[in-house]
Amino acid sequence: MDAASIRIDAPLVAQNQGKIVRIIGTCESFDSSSNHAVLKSNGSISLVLNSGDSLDINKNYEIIGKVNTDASSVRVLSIIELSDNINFEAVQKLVSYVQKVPELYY
Amino acid sequence: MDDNSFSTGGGGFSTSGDYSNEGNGSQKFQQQRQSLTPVTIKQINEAQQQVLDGEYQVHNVALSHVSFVGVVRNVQDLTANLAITIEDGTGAIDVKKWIQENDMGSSESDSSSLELNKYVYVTGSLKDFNGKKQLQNTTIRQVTDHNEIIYHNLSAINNHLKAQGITSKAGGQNQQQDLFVKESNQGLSIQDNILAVVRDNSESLQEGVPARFISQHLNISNEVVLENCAILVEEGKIYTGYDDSAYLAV
Repeated sequence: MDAASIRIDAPLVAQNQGKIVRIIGTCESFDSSSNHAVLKSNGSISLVLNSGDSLDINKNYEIIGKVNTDASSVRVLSIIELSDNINFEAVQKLVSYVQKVPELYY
Repeated sequence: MDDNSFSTGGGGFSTSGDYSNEGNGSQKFQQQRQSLTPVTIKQINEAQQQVLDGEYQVHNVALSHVSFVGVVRNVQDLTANLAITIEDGTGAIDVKKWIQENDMGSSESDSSSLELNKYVYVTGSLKDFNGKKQLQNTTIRQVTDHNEIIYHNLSAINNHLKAQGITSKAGGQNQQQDLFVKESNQGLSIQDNILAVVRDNSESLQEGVPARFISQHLNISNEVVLENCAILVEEGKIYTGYDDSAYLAV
């Protein structure tokens, strides 16, 4: 897990094709048969999960994943479950500030 | 005599003496700053010592006592200590946690609290050890409210920007407002207005600013004034004067 990841949300997926990213969001839908889920983070992001991964709908997660080269989905590498009380307004602000201080981030 | 000729003779010497004095001075100044600095792991990894055995610095931020939030990715039991690899998306760092013999019970709970792939909050002092950076006197605790991740990162950014001298002006002000999400105070509330009137007149009306005076001043009904004053009294911002319907500011 040495690879650095950049914190983004849905509007920034397109700018980060092929990159490792970190997204905090709420699980909107999860389909175990196709290993596919939708994460809501200032917009919707389609996730491609590994078989065996499972997400609960309406729970908050931080996922680390790789954005597909066509920016259509994010291939999930790691999932961390977060508490239910996440302030998404603050998450949005954090995402926008992280892009402005490359000294502290990737 | 020898001493004299030495100090006057070597101009270079005396300046280097000044220099080291300066160094001492700044070192003393730095040692007074013992506050906990919120950082990202990238900052720790990029930090460098300005002077030998001195404090680590990165981008104008002095790192002596640092705190960071990251995910536990590896825990290695080395009998006497645990080597924990923590990663936060900006980099990874190895932290040593010493196992104390006399409290095996609590150390067990320590290691069990260090679950893999969970967020932890770490504090410690950054020191040089055999030429390598090491975090000493570490404390590690699991993050249960994950807003802490967001909060920590925002404070790290805030701290970093302040160290760059970016505090006010358009951009800075914008950021201040943005950082305090939701506290939009365009236009003061009725309570704030009442408080202002009471404050302004407390000196001249020593027996209390009458509610009627406030209501006339702000062009609002007497009931609203009494209602809001009751709240302000409860909050301890004002207190009643001689009369129950007259108030003084604290």
